[in-house]
Amino acid sequence: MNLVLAPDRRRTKAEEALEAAFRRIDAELPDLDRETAFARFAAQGLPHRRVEAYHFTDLRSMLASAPEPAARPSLDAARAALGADVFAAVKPARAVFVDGWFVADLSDLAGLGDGVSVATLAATMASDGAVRGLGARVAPGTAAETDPLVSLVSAFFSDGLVLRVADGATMARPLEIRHVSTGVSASAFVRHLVEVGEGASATVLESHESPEGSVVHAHTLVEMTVAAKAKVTWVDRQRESHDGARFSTLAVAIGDHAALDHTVATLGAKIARTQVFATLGAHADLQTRGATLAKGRTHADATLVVEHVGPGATSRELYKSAVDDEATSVFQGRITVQPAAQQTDGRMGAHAVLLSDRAEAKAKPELEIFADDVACAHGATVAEIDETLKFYLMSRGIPADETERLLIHAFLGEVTDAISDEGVRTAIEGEIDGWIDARGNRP
Amino acid sequence: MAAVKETVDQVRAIDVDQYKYGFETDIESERARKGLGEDVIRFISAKKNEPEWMLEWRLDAYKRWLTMEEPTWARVHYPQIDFQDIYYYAAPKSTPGPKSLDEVDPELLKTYEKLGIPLREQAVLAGVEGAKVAVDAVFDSVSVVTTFREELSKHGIIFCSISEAMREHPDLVKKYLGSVVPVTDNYYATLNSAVFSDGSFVYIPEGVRCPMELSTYFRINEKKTGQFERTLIIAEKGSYVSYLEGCTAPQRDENQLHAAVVELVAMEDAEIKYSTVQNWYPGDKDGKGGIYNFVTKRGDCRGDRSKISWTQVETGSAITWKYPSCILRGDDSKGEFYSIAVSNGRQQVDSGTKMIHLGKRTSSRIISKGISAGHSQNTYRGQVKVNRKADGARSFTNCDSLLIGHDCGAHTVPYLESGNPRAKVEHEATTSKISDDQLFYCISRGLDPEEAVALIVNGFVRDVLQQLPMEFAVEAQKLIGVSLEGSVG
Amino acid sequence: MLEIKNLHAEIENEGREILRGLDLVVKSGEVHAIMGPNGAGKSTLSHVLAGKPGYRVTDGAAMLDGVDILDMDPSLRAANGVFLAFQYPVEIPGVANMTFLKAALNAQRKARGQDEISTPDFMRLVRTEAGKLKITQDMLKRPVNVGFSGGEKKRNEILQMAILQPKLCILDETDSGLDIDALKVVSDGVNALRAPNRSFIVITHYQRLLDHIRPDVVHVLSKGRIVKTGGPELALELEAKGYADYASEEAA
Repeated sequence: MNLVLAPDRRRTKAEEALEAAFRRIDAELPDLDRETAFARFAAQGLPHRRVEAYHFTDLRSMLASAPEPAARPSLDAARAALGADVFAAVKPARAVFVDGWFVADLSDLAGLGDGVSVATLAATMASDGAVRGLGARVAPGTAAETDPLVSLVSAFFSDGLVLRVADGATMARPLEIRHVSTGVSASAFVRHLVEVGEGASATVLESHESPEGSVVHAHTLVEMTVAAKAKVTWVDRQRESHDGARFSTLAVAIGDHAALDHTVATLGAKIARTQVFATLGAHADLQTRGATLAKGRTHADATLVVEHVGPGATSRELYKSAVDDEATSVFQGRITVQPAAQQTDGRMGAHAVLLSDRAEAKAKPELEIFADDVACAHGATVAEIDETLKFYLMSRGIPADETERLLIHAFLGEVTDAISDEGVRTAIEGEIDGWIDARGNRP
Repeated sequence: MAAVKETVDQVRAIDVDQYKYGFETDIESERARKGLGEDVIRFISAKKNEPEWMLEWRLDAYKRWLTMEEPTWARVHYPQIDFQDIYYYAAPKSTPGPKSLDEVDPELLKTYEKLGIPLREQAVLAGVEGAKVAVDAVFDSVSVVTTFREELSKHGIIFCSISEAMREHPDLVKKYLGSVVPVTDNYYATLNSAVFSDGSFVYIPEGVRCPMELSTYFRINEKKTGQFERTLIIAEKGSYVSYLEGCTAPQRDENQLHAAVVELVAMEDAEIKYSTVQNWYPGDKDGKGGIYNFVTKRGDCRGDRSKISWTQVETGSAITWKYPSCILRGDDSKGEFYSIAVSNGRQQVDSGTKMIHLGKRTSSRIISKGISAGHSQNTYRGQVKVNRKADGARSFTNCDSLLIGHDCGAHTVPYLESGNPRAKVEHEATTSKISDDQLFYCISRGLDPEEAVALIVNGFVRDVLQQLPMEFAVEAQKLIGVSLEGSVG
Repeated sequence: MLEIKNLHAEIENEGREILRGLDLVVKSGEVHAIMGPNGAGKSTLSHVLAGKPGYRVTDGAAMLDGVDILDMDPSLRAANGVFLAFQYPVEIPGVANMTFLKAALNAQRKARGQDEISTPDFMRLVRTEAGKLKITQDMLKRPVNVGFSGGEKKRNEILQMAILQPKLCILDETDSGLDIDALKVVSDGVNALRAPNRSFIVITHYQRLLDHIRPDVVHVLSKGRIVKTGGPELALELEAKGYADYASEEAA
């Protein structure tokens, strides 16, 4: 077993820490093919700016260190970590992970309906041989397979959830997967599996938070298959400590005539990277939207790779960021249309507003088209809040600071408005408004 | 409509593998030994009677090149280039610095006639007065002749080969060469710095509006020869120049390397318009042969209110790797990039631009039209970067791709980076095929399918064609037609 | 009510002077029409009064009830009762018309030291005024001006005017792009707002708007100043003779 990083290069502190941590991996963890995953990571090390997919997010220089993987917290500590639930109004079923460990006593998985099964990944591994080889096997043949952050979760994950919705079944209530932190400086690695059967439908709310001031590196990987004609609604809300890091990946295969409606709101984390790797079957439909709010000296990256494999599929990507202080927002999005994917309809929009003199936005919207009968487009803008709009509002008597608040809200509203469930939408809007209000009055 | 008709005629007249410009000229030539080394660089420098500082400059570039790696980020694939299997210098033997057209080998003149370049002044003068074009023709490695020199010199304009400029105007060359594209800028630019053999030099003095279009025609003739020309254009305060560049090469089974460097410098209120019609041999339908076109072109808007405008029509080359760029340094300076890139057969294009906004209220405009047919891959790659200090900068990009046939690819890879809230950066891109409705509409009005495609494609690229000087626009339109020939089922 | 004295204004960055010593007095309850050839400075006057960025006032004053408004930011001018009905109302994606109206009304009330309006009162107010202007519920729910036709946008401007109850209403080419039916609806809306404590400045190129909104005073603006003042008959005269006597030089 050769786990060392490529010898021709000096390792960074973070890489050394990860390597050391991997050697000490807890025997308590499910026994999987973690070595392949770590070897894959080790071969490249942390990605840097010359790695095209990380051109704007140079983790090799940004990550000064990698905290130790978190130990399982005591129930008391876990309970204390649990604050108010942002999605409480929706009354979802709830799976709670604290520092990356599932806490059954704090979870409520009842009443999800017939044909819906939820178990921990650890438990599933023990009983289900098919899942055992999981270590290195993430979305083979896609961009996710070789992604270094995916490899890290595959190598280190402590646990996760396995959600299965049988063919034709409908979840009776939404499931919330809540990830919280006790605030210890540690890394947490969670890996979820979601399988939605043919014609089934599911709604999942993902929530991430950590107390301000804590240095938590939180990694999450969700692997999802949406079988033919199934429908999934997924909302991901991320509110990490402004000293921590959040690395999220959703790798999803959307089957023929299936649909995924996905929204992610990112507020917080010193370094955030949210990745969506999606493949679309024939006549599949993907809607993915993101709202990023970045302030202080933080860096928020949203990266999408949408691959149209089957014909006639539709994808809509809309990512917006409001960038304040000395923060940087990054958007990278690629729509790939494979040769068989004729009649693809893909549209991507990436828009950033800069709210301060030292804010920065970088965008790389890509089209990669190998089929001729397609209609694909992308648009991107980076600017400040439109002066004409500001003037119009002010000429009606609205003061400058409120004008700005209203316009930021409206700018991000295009993302949140599309959330169909009112309770969920209100919760996300509340988070965004809280962020806007916290900026204070700055005309 | 006449031009459309011509396009269609061209399409009909030519077979798949018939490259109109693929003839070879039988001229004795003098070459450096095959391969690359200090001795070859010394040979080139000696052949050109270069001053010592120039040789040092080249040797320094060569040493640096040896430490560099070939870039791999572009979406182009080709077998490893054996840099020792290339001739770096080939000069038509009979031209030790011709003083007038009479001294030029008649065979060469015939070549240019076949290319349709108005090389002979008489021929040009016999034509329309307004169509005057001064031409510097570069054959393999050497600048052969520059026309209209006398008339230009009356205005104080210098238009000559760069090797002559090194001897006659060493201060200007020393001051500006490598000031826009540094020696170590990239692998191919560094290679060029070491081995470049010739190219054009243009100097427009303060306040002078160049009275005619300046033009260079490049042709690679020799087998296994690389062409590494170097162009340097300096526009002093308040001056204006429009420069045209055309390229062809004979049909060959092996791949030939072309790694040029073009540097433009625009001072206060100066404007440079640089137009290219690139028609290097693209290889045959199976991808055999063709030019590898790895070119570094960059303009520096050094003065306030200066403007540099790149227009390119790219129809040739097996591989195109080319990003004409603008550094918008002066306040209120403007950069423009208008591009048509047509790929067919097995061609691979990775081309676009970079607009670097440094000065206040700088603006850039990028209009790119990519057309892919056959088994080709056509990528637009562009960067817009707004510096923190570039208050009021504006950038607009429009990037459209058209696919003809289902075995080709069209890709768009823009990089947008803004660090100034008072700047506005906009980008939009679309990819589509020629719509059946449009085709049907044209056909129902009596056009045959090929005419209809030519018509629609010409409409698709119209915004860019309009940027070209008249004569070039007509040639470009024909070329596009020829390049797409055979692509319509 | 409004007293403009020797107003000079230029376009920022260009330094081109558009208003060149304009004087104008509008008394309470009066409707003044300002006519003039293209480029006379009509729209500039409306923009400068409303405080649109991009202009520099180089001299003069504009006193609204004794207070110079030219140093105020646009929202403060609005709170003081200035309202500009735009020639080209902007679209604001993401801000619902209702939300916008309420935010504007409450902001102005707050600036004047009044309490916020209650939601039921607000709804009632909007419904009543919208009905008069034939503005549908759907238009109220949609984002401000997004997807509105030209006529709908102008009606929406008048709705805002009706809700905000300004002291000084400036109508900038409100008739442009309106067919005769829409013109009637808009004019009726404006006429209904005429009151002893409210003044209007109606800027227009054509007389036809003044058939519907009868002015008390008509001014001719040319080359940045008022060059002639008269009664409604002046507008008719201009309609008949054109602006040839007031030929303007190039201006915005």
